Amino acid sequence: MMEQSKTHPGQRTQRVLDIAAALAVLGALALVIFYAPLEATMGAVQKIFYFHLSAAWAGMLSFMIAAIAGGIYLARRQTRWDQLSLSAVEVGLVLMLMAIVGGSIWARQAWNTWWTWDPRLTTVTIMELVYLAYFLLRQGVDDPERRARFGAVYAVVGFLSVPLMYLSIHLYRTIHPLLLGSTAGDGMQLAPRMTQTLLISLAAFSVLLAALLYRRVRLARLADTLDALRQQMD
Amino acid sequence: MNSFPWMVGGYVVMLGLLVIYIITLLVRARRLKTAIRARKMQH
Repeated sequence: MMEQSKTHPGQRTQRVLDIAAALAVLGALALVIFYAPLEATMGAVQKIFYFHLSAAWAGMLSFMIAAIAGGIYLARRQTRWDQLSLSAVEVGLVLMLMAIVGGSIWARQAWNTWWTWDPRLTTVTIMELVYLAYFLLRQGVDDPERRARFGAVYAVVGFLSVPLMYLSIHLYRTIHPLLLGSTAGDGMQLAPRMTQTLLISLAAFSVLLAALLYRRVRLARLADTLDALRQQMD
Repeated sequence: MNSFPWMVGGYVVMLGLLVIYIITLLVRARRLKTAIRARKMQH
């Protein structure tokens, strides 16, 4: 009973991040529903775009964190960087999956199909598969030090798939909408309220990413503690 | 055509995925804590 009532500094930070993330995401959702105007052609379904783009943004950011943490692990060989890299890959995969699923539902209305092998959709699939393979690689290596090293190299190299996915709509002919056009006029024209809602959604998902990462890193620490205890007993 | 139900569906699925992931994180953490406690008791 006594042990449960104790709050560690990590738990307190986690609670603050959880509350901040929940409030930020719910606030952004309220803006999407009540504040952002309806788009003239697509109507309400266009509003999926706010969380679709924000989830994709947070996912890409997470993969970048994974690559940076992987690079730092290779330089310093400290377990915490491997834990962060692993956590960022997992959280990034979930956020990207959210973006893909939301985009697919939007596409059913806008393109009249759930899926098409457009360059953006193809490259995002490749990216998801690249990061899924990261877990297969880690599972195939027993030695924790080698597993962390291989994972770190993979997280750095795998990050190449992120700019490829991002730039695919600029490099190839695509039906996927462009938020930021390469030349004036080919990007999305957003009303001020739409831009404000989008920016707040992006900020909300950045807070959400921090909360999820923090929780996942704590989980990775617990897993490593258990591994260490098992090795001590064997 | 009214696309409001599609918007609702999109958000339900996206946020549903997020909630499922958070639940898996909580369950995994609880299992690990139980396993660690059990190992420490055996020590």
